[in-house]
Amino acid sequence: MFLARYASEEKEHESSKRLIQATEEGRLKAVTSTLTLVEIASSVRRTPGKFDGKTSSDVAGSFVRRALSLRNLEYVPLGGEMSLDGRAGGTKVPLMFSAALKAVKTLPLRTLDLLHIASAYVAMRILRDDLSYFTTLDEGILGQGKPIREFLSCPAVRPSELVRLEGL
Amino acid sequence: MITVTARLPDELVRRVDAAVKRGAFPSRSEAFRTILEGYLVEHPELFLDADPDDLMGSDLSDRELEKLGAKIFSGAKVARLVGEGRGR
Repeated sequence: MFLARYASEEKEHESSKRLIQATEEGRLKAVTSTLTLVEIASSVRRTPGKFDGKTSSDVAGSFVRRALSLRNLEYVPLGGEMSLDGRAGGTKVPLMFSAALKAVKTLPLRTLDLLHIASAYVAMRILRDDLSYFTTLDEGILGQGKPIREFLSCPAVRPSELVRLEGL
Repeated sequence: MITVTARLPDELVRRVDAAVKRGAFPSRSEAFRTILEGYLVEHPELFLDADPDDLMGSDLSDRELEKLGAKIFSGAKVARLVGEGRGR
């Protein structure tokens, strides 16, 4: 959604722009995974477009910098580490990975998709706040509406649906 | 194990010794080992070999990013780019 806000040809461009603006103005409270930052950098780096005399890595970094500066957007940490087998000295994994392992029981998603869902789950637990919506442009995630609603207790929606639902 | 000689402020050593005396650590060596390990865990950036600022690009305004976005995303769907990054 963050990149769609800067891609005027994208179908969800206007909706993404409105959602980000609403977040910055404090009309929405938003959380996202720190994984988003890596995806922003990677996607910009791989785009075939012209970089206007700048290096693709510098441009990628500029988008990351902007994403970090968005007001009222909270980044979900990986969370403290926990032992999966309960043994002292056993392998510890961050809470987000544990949540992803929990999610995989009901969600047949790819690894990175699972981590995004897991970060929303961690956000609910760490920030102690219910989520109203999980917003994405990702058709793979949107195609798993029912199990995601059951796992997160909120629907996965496109930015345009959220704009409509919240009357933004 | 390697023995390291370090010059430390008297006050710092006194505080560590007090913690050892209270039973927080079995010895002065164990205290410094635990404290050092804790610091290294708290500061993963020490192992990244890159300054956090190096990981970010120039500070650009929304207008500048919009102009750039119009060029670099021209003809490319960002949802597809992200999807490809996720293995689709």
